[in-house]
Amino acid sequence: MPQSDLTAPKLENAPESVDISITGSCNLSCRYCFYADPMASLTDLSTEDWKKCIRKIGEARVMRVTLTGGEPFTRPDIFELVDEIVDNRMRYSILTNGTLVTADTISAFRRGKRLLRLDSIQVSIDGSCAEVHNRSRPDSFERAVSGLRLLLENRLPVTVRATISRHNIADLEALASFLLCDLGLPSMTNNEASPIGAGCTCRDEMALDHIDILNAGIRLENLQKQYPGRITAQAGPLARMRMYREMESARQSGRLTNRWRMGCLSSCGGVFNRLGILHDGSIVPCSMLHDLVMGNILTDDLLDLWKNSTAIRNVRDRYGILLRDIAECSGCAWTDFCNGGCPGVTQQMRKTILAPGVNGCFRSFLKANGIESLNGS
Amino acid sequence: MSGKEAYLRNPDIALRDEDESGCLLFNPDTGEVLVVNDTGRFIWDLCEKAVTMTEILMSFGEAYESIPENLSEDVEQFVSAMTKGGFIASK
Repeated sequence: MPQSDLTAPKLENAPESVDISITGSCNLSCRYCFYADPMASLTDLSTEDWKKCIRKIGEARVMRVTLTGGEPFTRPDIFELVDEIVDNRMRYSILTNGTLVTADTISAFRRGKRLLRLDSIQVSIDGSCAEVHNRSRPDSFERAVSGLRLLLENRLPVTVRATISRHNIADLEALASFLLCDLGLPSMTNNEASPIGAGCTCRDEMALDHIDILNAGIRLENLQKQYPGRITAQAGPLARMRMYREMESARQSGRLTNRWRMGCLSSCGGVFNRLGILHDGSIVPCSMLHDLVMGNILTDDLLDLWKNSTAIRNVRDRYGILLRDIAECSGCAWTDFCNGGCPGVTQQMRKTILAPGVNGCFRSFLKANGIESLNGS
Repeated sequence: MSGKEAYLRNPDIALRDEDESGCLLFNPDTGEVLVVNDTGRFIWDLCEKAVTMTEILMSFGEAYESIPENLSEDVEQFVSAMTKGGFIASK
């Protein structure tokens, strides 16, 4: 039986990037928001506190930050914070719903080095039309597309992410055509509605089951053929299909992928090079692991926590847990190829990171779809 | 390179110490990263103040007992790469 190299990824001396939820405020109420719980329970930092935090992040020699929320553009001081990022020798990205982007926003981006340091601004679009988009992101399609058009027309480095749920699987072809042909975006990415946070309260309505994953995954694979190099995914049905196919290939050929460490809880590697900060300054391994608080950026030493915090070390230590040693994986033919799934989703659904995820299990996927292999799918 | 040009760090460059293999220079204006070893770090440190190629080579002579034959060529290549990447500027 092939055995994966179980050495964990190299731990950087400092995180390369930090995801900052700069606000818990949002002007929308998306049906799948995984951040809805912390938004309701935590308070935003002030401008001065955020500037202090950004200076600490810069002093730690972090190279990139991603500003998210909530909705980052609900903060009137957002460009003041961007300037602090620029002044502290970092680059940045913004994740937005697009609805608050105006001509004034575009003008603001053009001042100083704000545009030069902008890696990307990602707008969430979940449907090709208001009827589909608004099912997940109520009453926002026209405003989101208006913001997206402004960003595109002004040649900002804009990307679009579609979050796939039961609401929009049947619309994927129309969505790709709308974004890539009608609007002329160079590419689009996608993930899936995670059954956590608010997404958990309407799980049956939104979250994808194994049958939905196969359906969406095949549609997206076909779209990849139709739009070569223009549809990408780090998570969601398309990413899962790629992973499942690599598992099948590895089992068949004996050649293991080098994209992840097969056979242990190796998902994901983010905890070796990035951190999350919640809108009250709490430092977490990832914003999807928002209940594993390591400390607070205002009061604690970022690099000390990065190296020594038990919370993040526990996530990293998952690399040492072999799936074949986990009772519930006993007898599964895929244990030497699997990665156990996202620890963030697992933590929220099972209240532990020391277990495989339930929604990414390939054995369950095959069984639910009544197939023995993806070959031919 | 004339030998009279002086080289100075771009103040926007961030230096990240990595492990025993050296450090990274990050240019936030371009996103470019340059991995540098101890020798590169030595040159980077010298460029805190404007320094000519001749002065860089002299500093090596002062700091190290033995100097490789092709040091001059290597240093010129490295300084050229740092200049092209915007990590240092010549004046």
